[in-house]
Amino acid sequence: MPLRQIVLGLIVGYDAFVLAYFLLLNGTYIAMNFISFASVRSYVGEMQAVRYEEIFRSSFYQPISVLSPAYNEEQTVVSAVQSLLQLKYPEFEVIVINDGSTDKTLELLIEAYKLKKIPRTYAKKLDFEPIRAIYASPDFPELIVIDKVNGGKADALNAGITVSKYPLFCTLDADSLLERDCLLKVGRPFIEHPDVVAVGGIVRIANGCDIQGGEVLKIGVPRSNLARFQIVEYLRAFLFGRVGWATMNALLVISGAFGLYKKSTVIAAGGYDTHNVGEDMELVVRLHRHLLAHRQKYRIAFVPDPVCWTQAPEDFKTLGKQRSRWQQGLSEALLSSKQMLLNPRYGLVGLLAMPFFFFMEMFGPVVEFTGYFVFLVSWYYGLVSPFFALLFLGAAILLGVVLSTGSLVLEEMTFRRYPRLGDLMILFAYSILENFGYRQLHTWWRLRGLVNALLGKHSWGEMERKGFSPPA
Amino acid sequence: MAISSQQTVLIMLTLLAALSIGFLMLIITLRVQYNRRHAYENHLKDLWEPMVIAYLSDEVSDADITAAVGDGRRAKDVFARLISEYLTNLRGEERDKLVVLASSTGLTSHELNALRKNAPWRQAVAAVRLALMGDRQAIPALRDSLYDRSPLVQIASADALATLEDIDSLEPVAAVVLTQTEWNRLKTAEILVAYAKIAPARLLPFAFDASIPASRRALVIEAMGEVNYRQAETVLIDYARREIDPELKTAIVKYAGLVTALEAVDFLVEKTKEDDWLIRSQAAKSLGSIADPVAVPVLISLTRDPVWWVRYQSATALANILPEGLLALEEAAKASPDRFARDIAGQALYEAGEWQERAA
Repeated sequence: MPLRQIVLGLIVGYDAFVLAYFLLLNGTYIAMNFISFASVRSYVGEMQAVRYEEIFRSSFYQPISVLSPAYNEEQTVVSAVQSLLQLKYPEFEVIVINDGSTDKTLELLIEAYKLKKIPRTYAKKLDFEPIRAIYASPDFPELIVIDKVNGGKADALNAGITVSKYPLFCTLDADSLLERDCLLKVGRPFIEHPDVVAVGGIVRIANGCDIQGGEVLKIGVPRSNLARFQIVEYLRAFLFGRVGWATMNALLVISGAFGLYKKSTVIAAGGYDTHNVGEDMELVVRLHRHLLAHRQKYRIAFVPDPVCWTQAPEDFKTLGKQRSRWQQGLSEALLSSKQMLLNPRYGLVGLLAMPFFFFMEMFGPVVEFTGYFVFLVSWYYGLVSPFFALLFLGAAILLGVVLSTGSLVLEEMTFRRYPRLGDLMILFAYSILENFGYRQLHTWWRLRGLVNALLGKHSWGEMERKGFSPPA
Repeated sequence: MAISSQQTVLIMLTLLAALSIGFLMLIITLRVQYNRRHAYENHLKDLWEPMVIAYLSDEVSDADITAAVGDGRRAKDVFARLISEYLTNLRGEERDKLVVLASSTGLTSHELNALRKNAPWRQAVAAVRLALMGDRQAIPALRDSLYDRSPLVQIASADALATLEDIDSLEPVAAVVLTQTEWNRLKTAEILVAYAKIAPARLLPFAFDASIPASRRALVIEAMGEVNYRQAETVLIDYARREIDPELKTAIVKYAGLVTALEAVDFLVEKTKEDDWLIRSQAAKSLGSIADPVAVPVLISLTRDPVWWVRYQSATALANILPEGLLALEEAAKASPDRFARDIAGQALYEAGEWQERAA
């Protein structure tokens, strides 16, 4: 058989594979959307009968240690801590872990909160770089600052978990801004169901919002196109993706920007893996592995309304780095627990969530990227009819639009966080526009992350922070 | 008939446009509906709120308010929400007046209807409101709702019956909330505390009922501790000396600390020698609550416990026993042969100093 025919045969075969992949991926997304839709609607109804002030007054709550790792965060650290100290929860401590910053992060904290070195003991059950000193504030007794040798975010979190006093810990990014009552909301599943070991909350984009004194006063849409695309992306990922997986107790990702964990379970599972770029996802996957292997009854939940606001990158370079890093983290987390893949011992996580994330989320960029290329070649050689090619392209875009705008509809039917109709219209426009260029660029960034993971490259890639300030 | 590429593009663009317009219209419709509803509800609230305030100062009668609210279901919903907000925040005579108003304006029957036939969340809201309205006529319907299919409705009804202090419902409520481990732990605990306040003796048998899961029986014991029901002390302490579930033992140790009974000190000292560190740490904490100087030597020895949390609880408990515990702690911080004991004593002293400053 001539080489040309073999190549052409392979191309046709690959086209069929891409088509099947596309149908499976989008079929799963749509199924997930239906599940999430029912789940979020029922949650919103249920919340009408919940009185959070009761939890606040109850003696059955569980105290929380809020861990905020900081590496060169001089722009945001003081205001972020200020916001954390205003949280509404019966008993909590805020632990900022200065992970060997080379800027003025520690000095600014010492100055702003009049920190003093204190004696504080801890049982060292996790590995982390040495702690230089532990500070406390006489004015804010719930604030603790750990100064340690640089070791990365996971290392800093391990130090924070070790020093923390309470049975639950909440992880944040240094630039995360929590809504005041969010610990009450995210802590509720722990009080209600003793088998809950981790809970994720929704992360929203703070760009464009009016933020003063560490509090979001007015929610708005930013001017930056990139930030607008990300708002739509976050809504889709959190309202649909995570809610859907959590409903099946197969949630594999809790954002590092905002998650609450049962300390004893995390310590038993070995704490954060300091060699993994996506330490947040790796921990959740390992928790599943650990608990299922030990046949323990557990639940990893997602609550869609306690909000953590975060800064989104507004330039291509930073966003590209961030997304590559996320994909690298996802790939490393999945590869480190590959024994769960299609393993019935791990239930739905092994048979459904792991295969989906492995083949669709991890290798998705490869199929998508090569799919574009092979499809063009096929069209050029007349292997697929122009009609079919356009039909396929159109269907891909239409499904993208359905998924994105669907999340906006769900947002509007439930939380309605964007008060201005104009803002909603802007987001609607961007939920369509993202299918023309942004999604393809995103695929490229993810592909880069996957390659980095497969090559074993390790780079944390510092984020440039702008600090929370009122919108221009 | 073959479709050309151009036609395909055209069809796709048309579909895209139709879909986009469809979703856009849906979003706009949802927002417009929401805004209208919101404006309508705010309008009614603005109208009725001054009337309710006037009613509280006897300037307006309940007949006037009944006439203003009318019979419309939506209007009644808004009024029920408004009255529920007031009932949550008011106490005393004003609250009693509003309870009468809720009944005379037909809100109780409105919410009873909602409890019988609705979406589960609305039934649960009805149960919460009926409890706030304090109308005991709602009790039979709430008892029926204990057997609703939705756990949300079941627990809201159980909570409402506890709030209405319906002691006769204790057994059916307990039968439902104590036998299902999947149940909302917080609400179960709160319901048990509510019953413990009015009839602790009737709650006690559930603590020994082996057919109930240990985690739930532990909540019963803690509830009796929360309301300082000291009459159960002897029988519970005897029970804790048997071979029982560690969760129950921990709950009894916690109970002893909550009722702060000096008679329990020997028992707690005994429990500081348990193998389970959770029981040891809880025993240390309870000894700190009772603050009997007799416990100082055992607490000092516990500052050398292999488990950090036990050391921490013991040191904190010592700081609570004034002045003997504090003096022993200072001594341990300076001269204990155990490094961990010295460190934890130093930390507890620092924290105690900080608390004292704060209290001052």
